[in-house]
Amino acid sequence: MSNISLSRNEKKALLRILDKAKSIEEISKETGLSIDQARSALERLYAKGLVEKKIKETTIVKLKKENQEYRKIGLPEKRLLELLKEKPLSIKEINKLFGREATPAIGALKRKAAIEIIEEGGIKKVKIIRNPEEIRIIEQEFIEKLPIELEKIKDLDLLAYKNLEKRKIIELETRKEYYYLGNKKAKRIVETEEFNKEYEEKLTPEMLRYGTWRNKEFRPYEIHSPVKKARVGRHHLLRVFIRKIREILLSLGFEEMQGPIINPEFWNFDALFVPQDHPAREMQDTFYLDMYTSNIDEAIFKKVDKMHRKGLGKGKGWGIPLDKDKSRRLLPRTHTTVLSARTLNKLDLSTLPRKFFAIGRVYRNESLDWKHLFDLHQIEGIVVGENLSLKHLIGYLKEIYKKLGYDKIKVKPSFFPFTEPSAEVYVYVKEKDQWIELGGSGILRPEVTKPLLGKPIPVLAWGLGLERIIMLKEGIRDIRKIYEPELGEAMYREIKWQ
Amino acid sequence: MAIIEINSAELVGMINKNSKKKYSKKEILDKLNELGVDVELEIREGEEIFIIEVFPNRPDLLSKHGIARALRLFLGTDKPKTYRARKSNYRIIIDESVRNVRPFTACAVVKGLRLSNEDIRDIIILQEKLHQTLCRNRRKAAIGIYPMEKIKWPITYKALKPEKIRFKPLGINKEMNGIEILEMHPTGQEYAGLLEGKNKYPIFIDAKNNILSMPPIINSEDTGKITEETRDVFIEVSGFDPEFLNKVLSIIVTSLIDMGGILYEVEMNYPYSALKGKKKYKSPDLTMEKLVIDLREVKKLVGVGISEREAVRLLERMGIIYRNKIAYIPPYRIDIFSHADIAEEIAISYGYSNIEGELPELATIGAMDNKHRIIEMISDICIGMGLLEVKNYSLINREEALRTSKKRPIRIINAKNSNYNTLRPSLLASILNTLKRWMHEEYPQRIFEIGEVFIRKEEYDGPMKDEWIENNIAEPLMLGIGIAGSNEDFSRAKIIVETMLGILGKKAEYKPLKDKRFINGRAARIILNGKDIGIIGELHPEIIEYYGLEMPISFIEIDLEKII
Repeated sequence: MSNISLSRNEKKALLRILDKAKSIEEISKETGLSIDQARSALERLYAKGLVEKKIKETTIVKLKKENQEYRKIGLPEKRLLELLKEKPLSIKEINKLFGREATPAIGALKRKAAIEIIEEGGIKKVKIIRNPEEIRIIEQEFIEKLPIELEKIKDLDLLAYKNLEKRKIIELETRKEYYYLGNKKAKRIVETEEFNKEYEEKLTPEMLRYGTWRNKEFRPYEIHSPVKKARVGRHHLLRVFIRKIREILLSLGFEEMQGPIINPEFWNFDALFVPQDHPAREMQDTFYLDMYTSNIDEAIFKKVDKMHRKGLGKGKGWGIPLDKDKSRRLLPRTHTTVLSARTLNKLDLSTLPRKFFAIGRVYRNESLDWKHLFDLHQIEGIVVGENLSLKHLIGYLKEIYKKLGYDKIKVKPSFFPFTEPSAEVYVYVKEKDQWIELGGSGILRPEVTKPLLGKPIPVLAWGLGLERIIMLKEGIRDIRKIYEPELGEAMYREIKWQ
Repeated sequence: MAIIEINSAELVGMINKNSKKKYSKKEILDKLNELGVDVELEIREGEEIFIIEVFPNRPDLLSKHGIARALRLFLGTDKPKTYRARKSNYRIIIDESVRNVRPFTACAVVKGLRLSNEDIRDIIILQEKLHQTLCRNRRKAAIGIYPMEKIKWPITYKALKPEKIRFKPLGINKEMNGIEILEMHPTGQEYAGLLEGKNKYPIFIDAKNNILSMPPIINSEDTGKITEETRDVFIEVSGFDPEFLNKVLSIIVTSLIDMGGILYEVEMNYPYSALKGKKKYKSPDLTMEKLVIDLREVKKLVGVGISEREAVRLLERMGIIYRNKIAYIPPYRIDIFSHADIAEEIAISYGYSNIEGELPELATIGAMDNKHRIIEMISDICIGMGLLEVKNYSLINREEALRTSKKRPIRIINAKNSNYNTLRPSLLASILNTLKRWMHEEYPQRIFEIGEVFIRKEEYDGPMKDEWIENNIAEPLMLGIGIAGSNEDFSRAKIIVETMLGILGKKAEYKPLKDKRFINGRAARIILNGKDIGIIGELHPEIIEYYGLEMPISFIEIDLEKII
């Protein structure tokens, strides 16, 4: 009991509803609190289990909207009576003055036996037949009391109500109102010392300035009251993951690469020894623009073209020369490996060994569904150095995946057009008790590295879909949810990968 | 990727035939995985099947005999064998008329086959899968297989006017001419594009003037259908590159030899030079390709300590013979180019799982890229101001692009989904798409996105990069901010800009902006050191309405390239 703490407003309200249920409006009037303050105090009392809340329906009588003016200018019979007090009027004149209201006005006064209709020289005239001061228009008096509760209408008002209802001047409305009544617990609580103690609501700057806080006691709060969540600014899930993965790769000594999203086929495919008739280059897999690059460096183009035609010195190539028009065609990159190719082409060999990585957008001509995006992110890493081997690639993969949270990995032979040997990476996912494919890797073909680097220095390469690892780590089933989350998810999602 | 299915008992039988060691299903499954194909066992209608996914570099594995051959070598049951053709008098005459239509063909005869229904199915599947993958839907090459008994040698390969070609195409018991076949026969309709623009169509025709086929479209119903009774077959591959055609033919004939057939050569007679520059030669050419390989280079690339003898043994298990610094590549392999490929063969044979990973001692220094540093800094400032980060697809539809930007949209010409066929020229569409998705959520909503937009070179006034100049497309990094709510307005948006630029140590000026996307008189250009860096304003009701939104929105877009 003592842990129920009440604010000053709550106390004020509670004291008023110990014996009689009251509405918010009544409490507001009695305590001087605003309607909002009263409502919030009563609701909090209700939440704290100190009051009963009852809904009460009342029927209210009110003037119809279109008849509001009768309150100001008076009912037609009232206005007619005023005119007749001056002099009798002909029916014709009354019709002219009152229009549609003429007949009801005359009728109403006739029923009160206040007037009669006489004929003078063939003209029908209306004149008062009683002492004007004695004529009461009770309907007018009733209108001035509106709105009023139906139950509270008495005596003459009842008669007026019936007349006005018949004439459809007034209408009924049902109002719902909450009534609050303090319960037994409330009655006990108001007797406690705690309740009657004078608490300070707020610590104010003034109290601090003048030191008056010293003899005050502050009201203890209801610490269990529920609150709403704050509206927050927050990084997107992709950014959270990009940061984590970047941190891992930076810690392993990788430098971040950067480069254009739009690339000519030359850099996206030719330079990676993907033949020009390779199925991956077809329309159903790769997006194309109807624009062409205006320049491919002639020296590198010649080297790559020679590699496609003839291959390495002792090896062989595709036997097909590059079609330069095709090489020049632009596309949104299909993999971040294009960044690796451009980086290697610019690399100063005297700075070796070097490591690079990129996390960037790539595009595939896919339709959009729960498994596929056409616009997604790829993580890519390369290690450039003499004497590197498949053994070292596996060494790096183990290290990187360990940092990604996968202690057990398996590599399997695979195929990518630009790596040889190639390996697929499988990670053991404890929660699922399953091996799951998570990334591809390999050593760039000498047919790729020779034209770019001048000699076939081994380049270990590794790639992984960012969305894929997000789905796996965060338990997201529909890949679109990463880009199209609900507002609540975007703001309050728990990041499971810590 | 191509998938082939083989009955498990059948494959187990083929592997264990004449083998001292008997392998179980499970062992075979594991070994196939080690070999580098993806395999699963599946039970379908009571039948247990190996579902095998074959990478595009290994078309020789597209038949059960191809799989069995590779696996028996891998297990050491078989040694690499040399495939040879017997001498014969079969002749093909290639006519000058095909030169500009479909100039080359590679041919062979295989006899003594005893085909079961499964074998026929396997041959047809191999032919189909090769057509789909290696032959690029018959564009690079088309394969025809014919029973020998109805053929009168020699065969001529020539081209005729389509209306002069008359035969019964496969599956139809009625003669049709070349034009009718392309217009009416289902296979004709499917591949008609491959003969488009040709005024003559190629045919194989025998000495009795029976048309065997019209490549790359269809065989004849009378002479081009193999059955269980077929013992001897004639095979041709037609196309444009004699070397390549010989490869495709090699894959098929080696499979037929493995089925028990005996290969016979066919003499090719060209009026112009074909395989290896020759006009007259014997086909197929099954000589093993020789690659000079330095085994030290190979071993260095794999990184495991093995002796030369061991390397030779490992290569043998992949069907490759290594002798005197030369690797002999089996004729059915198309994927061996240089020492790196030999290294992979050795690694697979050694077993990837047997290679211990090792981190080399490479001292390198990690470094974050400057562009990404800027992104992180700007996004942190935005978060600090209580903005929520969003990410949208960088493709939008064309109409949206036209409504949300004055720039000429850059179109994707072949997008499967027309809702996403244009590179976004501004972040406005992205911001509005998110707000639209959240239109029934609580307001105010204050969001931002950082990302590239795509603008033609001549329409972009910021600093250019070399690649952008070459491509004629700039990809500036933009910051887009949208604030939506009944009290969100220009001055609240301006607070955001001023605060952010203040943190970056910059002070902007504002000049009135006339722009249909904004309410007139409530939009401005943001100017820094005399240069436009962005725009700010209250969005015009028309654009809000276009997105179906019902809330005032103010929008800011700042070109980060210009403030870095």
